[in-house]
Amino acid sequence: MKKTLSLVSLVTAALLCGIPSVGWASVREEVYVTGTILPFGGYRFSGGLRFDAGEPGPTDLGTILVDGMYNGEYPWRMRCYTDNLHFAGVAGSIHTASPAGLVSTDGRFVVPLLIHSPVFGEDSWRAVPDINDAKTVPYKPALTPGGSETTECIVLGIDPRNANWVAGPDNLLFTRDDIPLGDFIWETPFELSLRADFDAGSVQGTYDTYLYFETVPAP
Amino acid sequence: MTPRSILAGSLCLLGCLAGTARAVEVQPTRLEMTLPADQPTEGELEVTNHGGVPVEVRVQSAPYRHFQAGLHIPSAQDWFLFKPEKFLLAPGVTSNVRFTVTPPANVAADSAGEYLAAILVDELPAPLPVFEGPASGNALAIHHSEGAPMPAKEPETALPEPPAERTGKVTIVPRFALPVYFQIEGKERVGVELTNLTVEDERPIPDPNLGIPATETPQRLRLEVTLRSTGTVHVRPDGTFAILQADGGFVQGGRLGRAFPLLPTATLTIPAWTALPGTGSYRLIVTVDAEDIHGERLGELLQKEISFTVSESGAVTPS
Repeated sequence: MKKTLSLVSLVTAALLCGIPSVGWASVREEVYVTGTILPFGGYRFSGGLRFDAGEPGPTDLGTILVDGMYNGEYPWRMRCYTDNLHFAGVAGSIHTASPAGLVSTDGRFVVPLLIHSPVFGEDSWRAVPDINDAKTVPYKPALTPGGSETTECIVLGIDPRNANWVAGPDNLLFTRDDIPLGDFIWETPFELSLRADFDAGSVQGTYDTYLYFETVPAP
Repeated sequence: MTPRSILAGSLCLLGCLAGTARAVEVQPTRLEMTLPADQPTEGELEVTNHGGVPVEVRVQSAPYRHFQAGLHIPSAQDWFLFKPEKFLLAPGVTSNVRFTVTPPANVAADSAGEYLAAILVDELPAPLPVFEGPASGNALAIHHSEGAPMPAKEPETALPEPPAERTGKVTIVPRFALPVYFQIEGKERVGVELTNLTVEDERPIPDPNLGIPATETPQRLRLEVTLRSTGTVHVRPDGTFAILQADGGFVQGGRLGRAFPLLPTATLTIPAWTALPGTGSYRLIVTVDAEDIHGERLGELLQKEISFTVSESGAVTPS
């Protein structure tokens, strides 16, 4: 969908009046411009997944089709996480388990959830964190080319200030061959794959979660 | 252990797609407002469904989560009242969500000039297709625990037959998080100091994907400008740098690049890179300006200058 907006642009025009010895008179002129502004858009996700893992072991849960594109101001990032407030853990257990992953219906057990995006590289999987996990380290841009540490699972994003691969073939940021949109994004449509590791100790039953794909726009 | 194939193993993928892809767009993408401390203020968000199917939209407030972790700026998360909080949006339709912001009583007496939050706009999921079980033919029952973040409506016809193995579902929720900046009338004070300017030579770390070895990557000049907020509200800085010969001739220059908003109490370091000039003595001059949420610029430009030399080996030494 396109949104048509009327924009009013003010320009200052200098007009020459009279003879040069009198000087320049400045006149403010309004120019009306009609343009079409494309929506900044967003990524679209198809559906969700139902699965029957059967026996224990690493299990591919299926794929999610991602389409569309986000055209908003950068830096922005899209992170995925669960929000398993209903995870309670096993009463009396010594170790506090992370709430990240698929949670059993009774809220006592959790199975880690992994995600693969083509942006990560071939057969590269990352753990999906939970937003309530106390050990969360939020993303922030790095001041050095080495990057920054974060526990966030960022599946897409553009942040040109700290990524070497934005710099282009000359490896210099802020030069003419920079790739402003060649950042941590992927041509759509593409698929995100989900995997869970139902180990032998995971109890039988129903596991589910809400998987959030949050677009965090430029601040 | 290698993950088993969907076809070869016992895994049975029960369902994947739940209708056409959804796509909701929100405008504006950033909320910056000046509020009176002693009365409610109203505003509006515009939500558009660009997808091909109706979507249920939920709007709620949340903590600020936009890149600058570790700052202790008071939160406005609890100031919102949205109307409606949840609604169905038909394909191609734009709907307005009105919100009322009511600062609590203590804000008038508080010294803080700015409060932060986020507005989360969620596309709630449609119910997934019901799986017809292979043995009994009964629908698989999926239950939501108490306190689950977003209970979706399940088909009433689902039968509560306990699953024999490990089953379940993953429900996808696209979410958009608008940053929110509320400034309190009469308490806005803009203040920025340019506290530090550094320069050094740097050999970039090569990108392994490009196959460029470290020895072949050129050295470059890295400069860092550090700004400190002395005000009570954020500003958005920008600026330029210029490298001059010691005798004053212009060599090269550029923009500092994009910077985050400089939040109150924050220190912000803006890095920039440029080509390393040849052997010699130079002056680096950085000029910074900033604007507030109303587009007003600082009263005067901030400027800092340092001198440095570049040796034959490319080493940069401030002088």
